[in-house]
Amino acid sequence: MLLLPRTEVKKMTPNEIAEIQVQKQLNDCVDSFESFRFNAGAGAGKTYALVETIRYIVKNKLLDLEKKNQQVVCITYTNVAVREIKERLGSSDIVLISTIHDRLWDVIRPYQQELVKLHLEKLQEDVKKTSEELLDETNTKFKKYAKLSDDQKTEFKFFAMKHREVYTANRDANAGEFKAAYEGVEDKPIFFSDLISNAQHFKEVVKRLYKLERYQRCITDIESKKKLKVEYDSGFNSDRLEFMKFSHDTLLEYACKLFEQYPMLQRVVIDKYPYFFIDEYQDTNEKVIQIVSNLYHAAKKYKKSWLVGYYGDTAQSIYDDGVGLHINAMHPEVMGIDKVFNRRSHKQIIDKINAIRNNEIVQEPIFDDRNQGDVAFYYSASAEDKKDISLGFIDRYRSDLHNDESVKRKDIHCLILTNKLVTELSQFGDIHRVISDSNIYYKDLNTKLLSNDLEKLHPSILLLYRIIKLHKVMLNDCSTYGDVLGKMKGRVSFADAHDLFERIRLLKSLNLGEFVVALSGEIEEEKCEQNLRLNFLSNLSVNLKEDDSAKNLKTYVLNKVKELMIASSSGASSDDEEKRKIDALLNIDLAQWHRWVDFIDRKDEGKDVIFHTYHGTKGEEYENVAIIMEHSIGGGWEGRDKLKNFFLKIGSLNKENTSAGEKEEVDSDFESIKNLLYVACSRAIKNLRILYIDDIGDIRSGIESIFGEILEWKALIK
Amino acid sequence: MFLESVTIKNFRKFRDKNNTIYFVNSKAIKAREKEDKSSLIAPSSTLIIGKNNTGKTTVARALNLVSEKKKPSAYDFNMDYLRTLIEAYELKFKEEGFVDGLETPHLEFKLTVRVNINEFEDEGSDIVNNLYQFVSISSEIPDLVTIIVRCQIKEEEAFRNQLVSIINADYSKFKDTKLSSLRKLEKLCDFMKDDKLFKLTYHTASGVEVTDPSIGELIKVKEIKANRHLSDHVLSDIYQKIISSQFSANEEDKKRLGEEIDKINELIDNSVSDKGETITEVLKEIESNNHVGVGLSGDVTEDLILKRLIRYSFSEGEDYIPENQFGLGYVNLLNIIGEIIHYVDGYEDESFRNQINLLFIEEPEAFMHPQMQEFFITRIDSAVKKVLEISKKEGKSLGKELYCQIAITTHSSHIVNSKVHSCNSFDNINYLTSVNKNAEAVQLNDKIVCGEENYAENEGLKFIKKHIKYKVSELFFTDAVIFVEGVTEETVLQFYLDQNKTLRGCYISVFNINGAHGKLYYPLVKALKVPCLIVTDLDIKRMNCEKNKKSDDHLAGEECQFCGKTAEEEDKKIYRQIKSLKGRYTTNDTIKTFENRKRDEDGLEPVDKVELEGIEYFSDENLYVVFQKSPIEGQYATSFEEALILTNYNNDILNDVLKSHKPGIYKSIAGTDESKDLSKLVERSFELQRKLADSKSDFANTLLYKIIVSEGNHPDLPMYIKEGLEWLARRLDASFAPNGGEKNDSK
Repeated sequence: MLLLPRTEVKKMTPNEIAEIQVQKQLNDCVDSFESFRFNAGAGAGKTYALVETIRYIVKNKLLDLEKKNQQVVCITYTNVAVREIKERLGSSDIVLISTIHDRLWDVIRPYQQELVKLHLEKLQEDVKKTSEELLDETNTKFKKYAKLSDDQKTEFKFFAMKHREVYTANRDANAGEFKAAYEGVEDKPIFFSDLISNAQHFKEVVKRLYKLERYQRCITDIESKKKLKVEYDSGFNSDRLEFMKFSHDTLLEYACKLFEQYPMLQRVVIDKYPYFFIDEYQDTNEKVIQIVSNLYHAAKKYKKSWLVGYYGDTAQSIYDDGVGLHINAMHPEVMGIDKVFNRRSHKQIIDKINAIRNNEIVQEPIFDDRNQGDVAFYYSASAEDKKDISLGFIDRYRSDLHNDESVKRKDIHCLILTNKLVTELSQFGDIHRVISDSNIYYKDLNTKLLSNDLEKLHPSILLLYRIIKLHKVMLNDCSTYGDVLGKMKGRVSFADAHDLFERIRLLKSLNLGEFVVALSGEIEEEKCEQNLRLNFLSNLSVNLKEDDSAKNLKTYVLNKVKELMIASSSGASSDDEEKRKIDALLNIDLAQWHRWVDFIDRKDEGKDVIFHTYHGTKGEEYENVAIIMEHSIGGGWEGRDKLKNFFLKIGSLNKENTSAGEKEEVDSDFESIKNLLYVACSRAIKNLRILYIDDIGDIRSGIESIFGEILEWKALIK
Repeated sequence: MFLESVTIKNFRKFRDKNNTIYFVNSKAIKAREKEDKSSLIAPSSTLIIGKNNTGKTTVARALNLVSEKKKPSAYDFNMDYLRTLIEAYELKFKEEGFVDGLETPHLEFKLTVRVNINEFEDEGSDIVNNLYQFVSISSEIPDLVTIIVRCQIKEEEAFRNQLVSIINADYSKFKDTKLSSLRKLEKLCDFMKDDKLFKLTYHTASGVEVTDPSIGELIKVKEIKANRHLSDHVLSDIYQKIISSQFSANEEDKKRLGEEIDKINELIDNSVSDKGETITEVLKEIESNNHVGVGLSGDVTEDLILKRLIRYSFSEGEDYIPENQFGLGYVNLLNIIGEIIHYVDGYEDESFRNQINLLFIEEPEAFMHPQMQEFFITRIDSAVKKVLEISKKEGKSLGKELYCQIAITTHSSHIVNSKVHSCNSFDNINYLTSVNKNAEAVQLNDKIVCGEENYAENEGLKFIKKHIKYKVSELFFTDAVIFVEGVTEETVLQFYLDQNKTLRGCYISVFNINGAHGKLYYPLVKALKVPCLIVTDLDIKRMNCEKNKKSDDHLAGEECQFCGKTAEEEDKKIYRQIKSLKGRYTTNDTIKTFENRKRDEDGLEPVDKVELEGIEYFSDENLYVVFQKSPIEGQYATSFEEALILTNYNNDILNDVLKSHKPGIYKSIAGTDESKDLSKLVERSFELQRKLADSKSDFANTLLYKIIVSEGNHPDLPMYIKEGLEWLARRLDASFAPNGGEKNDSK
């Protein structure tokens, strides 16, 4: 007897049939190598459609691909998404799922000669820029140096190179000590005392001279063929050009240039990867879209069977560097496939997100019985602390859910608008407070401090992450020596390794500073076997040789913390001020740091309330969602009243629509807040409660036009 | 570091239980003082023993696959496992219409590695590099590391699709579901033949995946295979290996040889170079412009000399013997020794710090006669000792120190003897057996063999160790065992075993254990899982008065419950026939042992005297104990002979034998030929068996002779033995089906 698949036995709804039709459209594209852009709103099953498309290929084209040694490429926005798709798809070697950076590097890595050439150009450009900078008499920092005669400059350079160790040994000292360090040094040029009169400016100048010298040396090495290889370093989120290493942004830049300069490379990619899928295309860098669009045209030109499939939603573009709506202009040739069904949410929620979205995709639930949703919008103008208000709000939500027997999942996912509030609620507020005061631009805190994707963290933050992670690994019974030593070089004995790890496990540090100092002490050369030490450090992505002022791990970390906390350009801050800022960071206790690492790693098992940023929830779905809104996104002027303005505008647009019927041109701020709210609200499957903690007097009509009735939140009402 | 165990899952003969093989630590193998006679090799060697087709070779193959990172093919999977897998897919597909999430076939090898971490001793510690990804950070002392190697399907989705299409293919032409499921299995195997389907993954004990571990560097396996090729030049080849390694070990010899080679080459150069010029001249004539030159020079190398230019002469005593006339067994032993020496020479000092050196010797017994097998380990021992002495002499100050684990697979009981005796222990023997066609491993050691906790000073263990030399090692390779109490059973049973169609096809060892020592073997036999029939005797306790003896066991002032006399009274001696077991006890040790074991399980106190009334056969896993529990012709027999007489009192052959063997007694009981009353035999069976007691062996042999030469009308076996054999046949049928079934059909 032939067994029929269940789906064919069961009667399907018209919506289900329509949905299968959409999938069939995608499969047809695959069969005919027709490139496409799949647009689907939140919860439409975008990832599902992507996985199904790949399954279709594996099922039908496997032999052909194997025979030709070809592979399917699937590019996602984050490593988190890589893992998720891999999990859904099961084990496969023919399908390459990775972030764009890993894939690009795989593709261009073999072309070292060409890459080194690009690298050389970049170095030369940098040298040129820095040299020009030093000659800029209008810049207060460099003015004194710039005004020196050419001979004097040469003399000073010679002096600086000769006495480099004075600088490295004292660069962390305060101005007085720093100047004093040079007092005993002989052969000082006569203009020296004038030059060093402002120690901060002096440091800036010599720092650039040293950098120029290092770059120059690297250039010589490349030209004399001593250095033949460059490397993409995903473990370190900034370029280190002089060590022939670069980070993600430079990777994109090099890849772009290579594809432009060498058409052959396009042909290689087209032949090797006939199916090219991009998940969350709206957040993909324009450079990548440019490369892919060029591949598309090249394939057409050479009459090759090749396709690109974009999966995403322009309404969910929430990162500034993503292509967003611009894709219409950059790659208009592909066929558009839209899907209007929502598999995730109940009708009540879909109605709200349609209202936010307000464009041609108007979603409907795929099953008629998904009509049990509950949305409520509250506001609180109370002067109480926002954290306390939020906690009260969530507490009430939780007890309501527990009393409601129809609700099976009781955990609440809270989406918090501001970083300040989300970190306070996640109990690492001090970290955010201290780092708000760092060099990271407030808009970037989202990614550089709180991103789930390590590649997006600030380099110094990444180092701290690694150190805290090490602390956690050391306490976790499931960890192995491999977690601490990474990829090993050189022999290490069991006795040595065991001895070191036991010592580290016994450390009783309370805060970050103590741990770094103690850890650094345990791996001092006299206490720790050399090979073990090197492997241990390299697993933290620390190479002490690359920072010539770092004698040990402690100073290395301090230097990095300094880079993070102290603005190099300001020059205004006093030494005491610097010390205060750095200590503030180091004094944060390890428990907070652990919670921060858990937040980044999304370790939320067993918790019944989980906090997220709006950005951090992309692609996720939760049964019960709470969203906290405020007028402003951040403390600074740039984030001020963003939400307020959005709702104001909605209010006024509605009025104009009814009166004049004419649409006003919307600005990019409006667009990005709209997308952010769309992403946040569309996470909910069934229950959604929103709390707006600010006075909504001016924007009531704007809010009502989307969310309907507004209730006042009164914490005391039980 | 050394390999402590390997657990093999779903690979070939192995399924998912009792699938762990244990290895013994490698002890230092190094040159010693002359007086030290203890074995070098034996303490480092592990024995893997079992009958044919129980998975001995599988162990080496598994380790080989792991160390060389080979991919398996379909036939490396356990067929039973694949069959269950297909069934699971069929079920899920039938019920739910899809098979998402079902497991795809995988093999798993779990290795545990024992690590030496001497933090404070000079001996030094092992190196982490090949293992570190598997070492748990939280282990107090990280001295036991687990590595899990999984071999799984690469494209899981594609595999599931394929299996669904196999399930859904048309099997209508197969009437039998057995046949169609066989066909499905074949189809699946065909599909899985492609080794590209698989990939290897590595995991820690807690299941975390490890990428790119240094497994190949960690495990070095050298195999001396069973099907080794023995060519005519094998001896020369071996000697050449040894000689060249000696050369490479000694710098001075090597240098001297090198110098001589240079001289020879110079000599050749001088004598041939002008001949080269002649050729060049000739060539010039042909092609004058672009003339082609030829240069001649000597090309003698060290390799060439050792390989080709040394003549190896062999002698035996004073006589020269051509190489190919040496006996196969001798050549084989030499070959193994040669390989080992070669291995010793190539051994890298200190390599045991970061790798596992495993030497597998497969079935070394091939072509060797039993005595040679007995001394196998001793011979290898002396050879290796010699090599180490030589290497020590030749300059290396300390000499070689070898740490390698040796695993010997064998089905020779003599090799087992050899190992047990050179170690004086049953430790480090892995016994493989086949249960439901899957291999199962039993780790043997002294504790299991003697069945008691404090085995060190156990007398029984000493007995078995001694006794193993004669017979016990047969136990390891037999299909079934029958323990009997006396020579008659031993002699006669063999004939009857041949009469049973199941038992005839099996290899059954009959052990005569003569009474009390029998129970010493039971722990061992139980561990081996071989079906074991214990044929014992009821041994009814009789008072002396009942045995026609002087009643010195009568108590003063108390009447004997059987003859009614007290010690003071005169004896009333008779041979008492026993028709009821009421109030009777046994003197049989085996019955006592099993009864008390049963009582123990039931939570009862053990008893000194075991009452016989209502007693049943004992059954304990693979053991079955039978005895004369039921009356024959109304009489309870106390021994095999009595039971045989009672069962066959009117059988001609038996009567003939009794008559010719004990004519006087026979006549007095049965009467003369003219007035014969065979029922008297029944009435006086006990007396008859007492009279036979002094000549059981003769009786047995005569009986067997008569049975064999006569055409039919053979005496019947007593009921309890018949029942015992039936049990045995059922057990064997079950474990050998369907093969056993076929055998029966053909006859």
